[in-house]
Amino acid sequence: MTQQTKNILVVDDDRAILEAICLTLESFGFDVDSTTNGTEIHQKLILNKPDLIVMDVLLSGIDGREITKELRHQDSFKDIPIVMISAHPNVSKTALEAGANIFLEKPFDIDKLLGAVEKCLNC
Amino acid sequence: MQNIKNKSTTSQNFENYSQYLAAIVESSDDAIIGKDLKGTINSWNRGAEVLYGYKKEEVLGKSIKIIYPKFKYLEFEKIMTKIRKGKKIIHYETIRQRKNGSLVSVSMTISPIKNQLGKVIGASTIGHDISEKKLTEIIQDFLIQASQVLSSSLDYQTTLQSVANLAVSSLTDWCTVDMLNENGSVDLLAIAHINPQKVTWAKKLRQKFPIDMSLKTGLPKVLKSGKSEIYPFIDDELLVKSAKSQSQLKLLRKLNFKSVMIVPLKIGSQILGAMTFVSTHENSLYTQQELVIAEELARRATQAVENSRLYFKTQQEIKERIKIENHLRHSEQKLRQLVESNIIGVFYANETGLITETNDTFLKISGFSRNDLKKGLLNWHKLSPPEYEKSDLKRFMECQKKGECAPYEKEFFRKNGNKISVLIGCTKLKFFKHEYIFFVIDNTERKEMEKRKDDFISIASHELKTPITSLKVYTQLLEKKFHSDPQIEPYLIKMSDQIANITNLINDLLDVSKIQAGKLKFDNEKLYLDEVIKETTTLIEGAFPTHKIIIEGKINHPILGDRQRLSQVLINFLTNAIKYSPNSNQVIISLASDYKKITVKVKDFGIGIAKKHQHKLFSKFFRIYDRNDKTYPGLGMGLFISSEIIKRHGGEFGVKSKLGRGSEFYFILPVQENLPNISDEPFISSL
Repeated sequence: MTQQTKNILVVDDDRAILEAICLTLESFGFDVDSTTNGTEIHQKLILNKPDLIVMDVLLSGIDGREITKELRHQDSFKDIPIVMISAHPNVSKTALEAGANIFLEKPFDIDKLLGAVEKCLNC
Repeated sequence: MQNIKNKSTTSQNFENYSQYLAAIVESSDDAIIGKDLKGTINSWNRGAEVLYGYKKEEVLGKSIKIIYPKFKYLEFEKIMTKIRKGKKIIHYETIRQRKNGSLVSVSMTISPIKNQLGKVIGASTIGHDISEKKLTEIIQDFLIQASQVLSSSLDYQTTLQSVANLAVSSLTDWCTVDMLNENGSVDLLAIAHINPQKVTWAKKLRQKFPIDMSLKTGLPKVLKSGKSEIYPFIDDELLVKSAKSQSQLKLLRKLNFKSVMIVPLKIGSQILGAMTFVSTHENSLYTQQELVIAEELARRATQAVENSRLYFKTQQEIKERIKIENHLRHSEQKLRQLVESNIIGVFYANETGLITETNDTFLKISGFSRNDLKKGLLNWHKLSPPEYEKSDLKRFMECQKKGECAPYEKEFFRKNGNKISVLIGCTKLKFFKHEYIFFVIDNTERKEMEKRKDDFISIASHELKTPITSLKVYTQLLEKKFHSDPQIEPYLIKMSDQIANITNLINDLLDVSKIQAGKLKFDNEKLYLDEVIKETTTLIEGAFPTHKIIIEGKINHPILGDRQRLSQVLINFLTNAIKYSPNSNQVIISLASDYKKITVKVKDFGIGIAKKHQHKLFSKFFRIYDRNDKTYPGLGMGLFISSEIIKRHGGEFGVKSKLGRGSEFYFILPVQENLPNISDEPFISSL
């Protein structure tokens, strides 16, 4: 891996999933930061702007699509690729409309997740 | 001189006086006849000419008996005896006969004419035609009674008996009423006799000598001709002539008929029967006047009979109607109770959508008042949200065609603007062409329950997927780590397969729940199914290396549909084909298309399905058992979901199979040009 290590922020309110995703991404060489709290995202972004965000659609208390929409309107964050994940397959359309680059339905193959991450980072 | 002069004056006066009297006599409208003691006519004025029809020249010198009917000859002697004795007969009412034979009622004053010596030398008869007066009087008197009698009863036999009784009291000695029966003979319906004791006797007599309908005289003749008969005077000669036997003659003589009238009872030209009037007294023989009265009585009796018949008919009809009305009322009460019950909302609407009548329950459901209804504020188009227009129209067409439509779910706007969920069915009124009756059930609670169930399934599925997601991730991480370790990898692959199975089951469960809730959403994009089939086939071949999937044919026409859902159908057909053909190694997909439709067939060479199971295949939770009763995995939701997807694409589906010979599942979809839109409407009938 000659490239600079990519930094990924993972957001999911389910800790088990969060850990699994983080473990996967870390084991494939990414720097991973994570949170279960959607409201913390902004803080995280300001402190350490990630190269990519993996985010659940339905977070406790806040909708990942809303966060995505907001970010797409902020100059400093609008270009961060976002992979949205959800157990609800019928939210894929709205997730993409809100500004997500890729939608993955839970449960997903880790190859698909890695593929999506690679695809977004290479654009 | 004076005397002579006086005398001559007197004589002249007398002559003048005689002439004067003669002039008075001549000019009188009364018939004035002079006769001698033998009855020879010696004077006959113009009034007599008018009344009796004879000219003066015809009768002068002839017997006065010329104007007596035969049956009044006895009267002549009686009168002449009185005259001879110098007695006067004042206002004597009797009957005379005209030149033409007709009888006339007259009132007569007969005065003896005396000579200068006081000796009776003849008589003057002043006759006055009283036919008119008598008739009028009698009729009036009689008809007043008749009206009372006839109106006193509405029973037809009673009426006729009353008429007979009335006739006996004023017109006759003996009266019978005979009615024609269906056999053409007569029934004696009423009988009255001046001597009530003789009624039974008269009835027995009739039994003994029934009316011979072949006779060309008497009652049979009247019943045939419909014309009255009068036998003014029956003498012994006539009795002898009409008697059939000695015993009958004896009887007839005993009966003592003197005069008989028979008048028909008829309505229009229909002869119902006849009334017979018998007089047994020589001094009350029948004339044309009595006949006129008898006919009038018969006419009125017929009318009364007809009235009573009509009355009874009307009564019968009224009874019938009351019965029908009671029945109707009863049914209406039943219906009313149905409509007014607080269970189901009911309303009537016409073709324009105007709601004309509702029960309280519907008003409660819709939130409108009865006053709003009266004002015409309740209208289908106002009540029904626009998104239901399409499905409503479909139901309306169904109702037009079948006369009713099965209950379906929809919503109404309440008066306050909020929507309320209802279950509604409709039937077209048979006798009011453009009216419909609707039955409405408040569906809110059921919807609420459904929603809770759906929410539950949705949440449950989501919750189930959450641990599976991390489980899957960890399993796959392990697979990656140990992919070259033959001791561990096979177990990890099995774990992955089971995780995939659980995921599919959860997805199927979610789909079934959505279908039931009518919430299965579809994309509606133009697509070529070839591509979808190729992608899906590759996917399945990857997952099931045991079978080779061969694609035959091509699809050249685009369809409108949901790529993912159609792929789901193919996955289902293909996995079934593989699952149920464990001893085979191939599955064939045949494709065909024309400008109207595309056909996709998936054929396997597996265990097949018995005919008896085939119709149940596409129902929920059905599963196949093979001959060894070995069950195959799955909850039996796949074909149900597939069939629903095909239905929603406006397509058809089915299976051809023989036990032990494999199965061929197929679906047919309309090509894009033939499909305006994918139906957004759930198929509630399939629940």
